[in-house]
Amino acid sequence: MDRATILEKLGEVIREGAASDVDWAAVTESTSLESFGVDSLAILDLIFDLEDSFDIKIEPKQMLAMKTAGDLVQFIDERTD
Amino acid sequence: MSTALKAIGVYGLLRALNLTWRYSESGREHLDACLSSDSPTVVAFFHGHTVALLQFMCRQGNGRWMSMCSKSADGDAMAWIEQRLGLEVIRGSSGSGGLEAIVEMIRFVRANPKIGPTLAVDGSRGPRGVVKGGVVSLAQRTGGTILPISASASRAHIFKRSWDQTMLPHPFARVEVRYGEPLPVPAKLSAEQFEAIRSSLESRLRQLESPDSLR
Repeated sequence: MDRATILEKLGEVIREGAASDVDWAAVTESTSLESFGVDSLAILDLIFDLEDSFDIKIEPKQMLAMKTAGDLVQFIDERTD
Repeated sequence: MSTALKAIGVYGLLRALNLTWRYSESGREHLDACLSSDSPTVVAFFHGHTVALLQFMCRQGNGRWMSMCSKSADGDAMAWIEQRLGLEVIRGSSGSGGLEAIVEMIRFVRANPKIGPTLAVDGSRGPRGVVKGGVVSLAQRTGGTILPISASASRAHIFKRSWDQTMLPHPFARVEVRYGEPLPVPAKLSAEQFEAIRSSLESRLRQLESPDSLR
């Protein structure tokens, strides 16, 4: 899966879940995750939505350490084929 | 006194007291309905009722339950005690504001759906009687139903200096376990729905609790 595909799929997951009102068309890899407006409970949702969608495992510490959409894409890219 | 000796002492005391307590139940049909369901049951109670409730929940016919204890010396002691009482215990980190603990519980329940998590929902440090959102997330992510339970005793010592007003029934006290109407939690929730469930659970637990937990 290339990074562009990951970013697109990430958008689907986030729009359906924790940050449904994000304008994903405007999101790039440098967009901060903070701008998605996810609070601590939404991060929980995000962790499991991403795990279920990408078949990976994300620990909360890892999730909290990520700052941009690009960090998330990189994380997923390293753990998927 | 070492932590291990304290744990043994506390366990011995709790087991001895428990043998003298005369339990009754109200709302038992709610527990039975949950146990016969395919979805996991998340038991929710106020922290101060832990002593009266956990041993009873581990009795035969009352289901299989798990709890989480912190990875600390105190957690070591609690884990030892709770395992001896019959609970499955997982050790979790309190890091990331409790997020890690909830994630670990969700993963455990997904892998072991027949073992229901027990949560002191106003823990770990209160305020007493205020339900935290983690229990709703746990039920949401495991397809679970929240079962509120409470305990009261005919005679008990209340540790008034403790944040949770821990209730320790006296020897030979009558202890009533009350089960409230279960709360099913859908997998998808808006922020408003999430808060409505949390608030409803809090109300049900407060209604189950008698005014001063003593009669």
